[in-house]
Amino acid sequence: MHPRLVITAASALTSYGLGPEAYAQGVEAGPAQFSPMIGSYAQEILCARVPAYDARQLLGVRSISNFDRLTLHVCVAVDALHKRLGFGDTQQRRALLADDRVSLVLGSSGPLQSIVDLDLQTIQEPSYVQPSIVPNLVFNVPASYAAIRHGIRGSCITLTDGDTSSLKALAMAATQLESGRIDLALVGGAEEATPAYALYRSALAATDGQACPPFSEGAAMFSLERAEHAAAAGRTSMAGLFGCAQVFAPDDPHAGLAACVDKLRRRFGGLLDALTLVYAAKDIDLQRVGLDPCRRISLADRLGHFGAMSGSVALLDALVGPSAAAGELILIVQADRAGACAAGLLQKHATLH
Amino acid sequence: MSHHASQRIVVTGLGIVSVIGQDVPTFFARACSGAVAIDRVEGIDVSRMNSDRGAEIKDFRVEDHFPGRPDIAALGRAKQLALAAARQCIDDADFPLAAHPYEVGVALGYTQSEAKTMEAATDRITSGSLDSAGVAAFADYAPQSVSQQLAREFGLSGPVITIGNACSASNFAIGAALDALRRGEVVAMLAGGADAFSRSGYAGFSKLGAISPDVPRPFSADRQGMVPGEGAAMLFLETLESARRRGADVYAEVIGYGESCDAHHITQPDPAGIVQAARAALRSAGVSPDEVSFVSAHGTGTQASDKAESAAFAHLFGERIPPVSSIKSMVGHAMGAASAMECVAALCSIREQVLTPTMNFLGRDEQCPLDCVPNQARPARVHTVLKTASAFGGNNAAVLFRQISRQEP
Repeated sequence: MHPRLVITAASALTSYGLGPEAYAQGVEAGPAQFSPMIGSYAQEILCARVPAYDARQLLGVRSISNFDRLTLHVCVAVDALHKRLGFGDTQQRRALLADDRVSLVLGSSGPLQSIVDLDLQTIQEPSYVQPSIVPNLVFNVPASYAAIRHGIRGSCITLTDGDTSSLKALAMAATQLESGRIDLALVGGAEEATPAYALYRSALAATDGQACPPFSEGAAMFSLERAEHAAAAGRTSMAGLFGCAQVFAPDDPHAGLAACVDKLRRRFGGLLDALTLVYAAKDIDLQRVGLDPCRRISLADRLGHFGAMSGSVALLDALVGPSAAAGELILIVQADRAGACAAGLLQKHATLH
Repeated sequence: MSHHASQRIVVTGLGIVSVIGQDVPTFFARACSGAVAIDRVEGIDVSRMNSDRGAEIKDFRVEDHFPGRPDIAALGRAKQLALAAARQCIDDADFPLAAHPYEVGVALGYTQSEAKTMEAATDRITSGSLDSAGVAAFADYAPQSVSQQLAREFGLSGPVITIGNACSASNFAIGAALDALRRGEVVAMLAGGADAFSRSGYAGFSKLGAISPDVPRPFSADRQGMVPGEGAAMLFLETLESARRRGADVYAEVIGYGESCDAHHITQPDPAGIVQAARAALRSAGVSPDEVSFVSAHGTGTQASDKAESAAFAHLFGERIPPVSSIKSMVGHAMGAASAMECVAALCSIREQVLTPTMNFLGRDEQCPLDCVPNQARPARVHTVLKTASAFGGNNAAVLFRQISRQEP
């Protein structure tokens, strides 16, 4: 069985630096380096930040004062993805692929610092609110800025579904492609390391009676397209996506993930029996999920919690990290603490050069 | 994965909590009577803002919808609004939910979602009193906590999809639900939107000069802006085959869906994007523009948005633009819930064969040469309805509904 959808390019901003290569080298060299979140509203929280970068230079614009940290990450990642696809600029892409045949689907917890800042300004004095940052209240605005920069007119959507967000984004992008609405989806996840996001992570941990574990920020984006479309464009497949499944199972992530696996098994039969690698949190018992024993990777142990971009970082690791070999069948599973469960089944096709 | 566009999807349940009615019959009756519920904002301090007009649901008491449920009374306002609308919708559809584990899901759109929870945290930050309880409470701000609350309350264990596409988000949610049904991933979906009145949202629109000093006057001469509101609305979607098999009452068929991004400006709408989404919806249904009998517009009442929409409709329909209406003239702009509310009104228009009015209309604006059903409801043949919605970032989504008769195969 050959997957109908393929991933043809990847871009990344992680604590290891900019680009998938930086991630690949960094993750092989050692765990992420964490430091205290500066300006945290609550307790001291450790995070692994993306190294400082010159956004004006990377984005080729002077005016980025309206962009919050999440927007910068998303725009830089989408810019880099375009370049990876061989599109030096939007005109070059447009000549090959019409604007309305391209979409952007993002999984993220949203621009939390902008939202908190705007409300803090409102409390202090409503007339202090800066009009230019008012749109940053909207969770989909970081992706929308990237869409504006690149003339992405097919659609632009942000999903906020906790740790399952970027896997669900992948599922939504797959649906857009399979319905024929678009030909190329730019899809992935992004999070910001800000005091407001740290507050959010602390809050999630506190409701479980736990201290906030270290977290990481950044963005990981991928180009997803139909296999024949990629072949016609001369783009090499990094991996094939067979499909995704998602359910809601409060109080029992194992039952939820087992339901996801069951849904995938009904569609792809014996492929699930040929799995050689599973990305899953360390507290997930693969046998209870209905999977045979195989290699498993729990990224959070070494890299911290990636929140809404967890699924996209697992995908990045599968594509460019040292763990997966070309040809391997890989399952990525995510279970949010509240009950959201998602899984994605893929096959690695090529190793990053 | 496969996509079965031939699978026919219908609406078999509706629910709404709005400023003009907290159930569907009351809401639609008051919409048809032209009830304008714009009033002075009381829930937040607007004394230093540029307007004081809002559409808060001041008489909303979740106890009326969930008597004897202190657990629900303790939830955030967006969750309460969403649950109340969903309760009606689930009851209306009367679908055998328990018979379909992992096959009935939720798709929910929002703009700011549980804003009051976030405001409680910022109040504490400002006063230096953010203690551990305050930190824990901030988790409740997560937008997915609203959609997940719906899933938990009603035992919906299929996909839960939470879409942050602001003012068009619930149209996007309906599109996501439609896709899930057509792929055969689910047998039914609860789809809609919910938003609570937001301080920072109000301040933002106020600072942009977007809020009307009196009432919203969509498509009218001398319109001066929108008016923020709140609420929730839900649709229950299933296949026509399922609805027929169980003898369910069908409001209408969802025959088309389209989405687009203007990729133009973060706040200024582009008519081309609206046309693109509407055309995609029509194309997906195999329907030509002249088959559309009514357009439920985004219709905020701002100069830019109404002008862009009018230009889009002129481009899409040519000289024969069908009647276009905006209930935002009565209920204000309920943000992420807005387009779901407007879908509820549109579906009732199909059922009752009457067009809801655009209230507060003062006279024709040359930039909006439309029949906006001014100031009075109108009996009409309502067969196919296009529901358009737009949002910051230029994100548009259009849903196409068609009347369906019991005699239809």
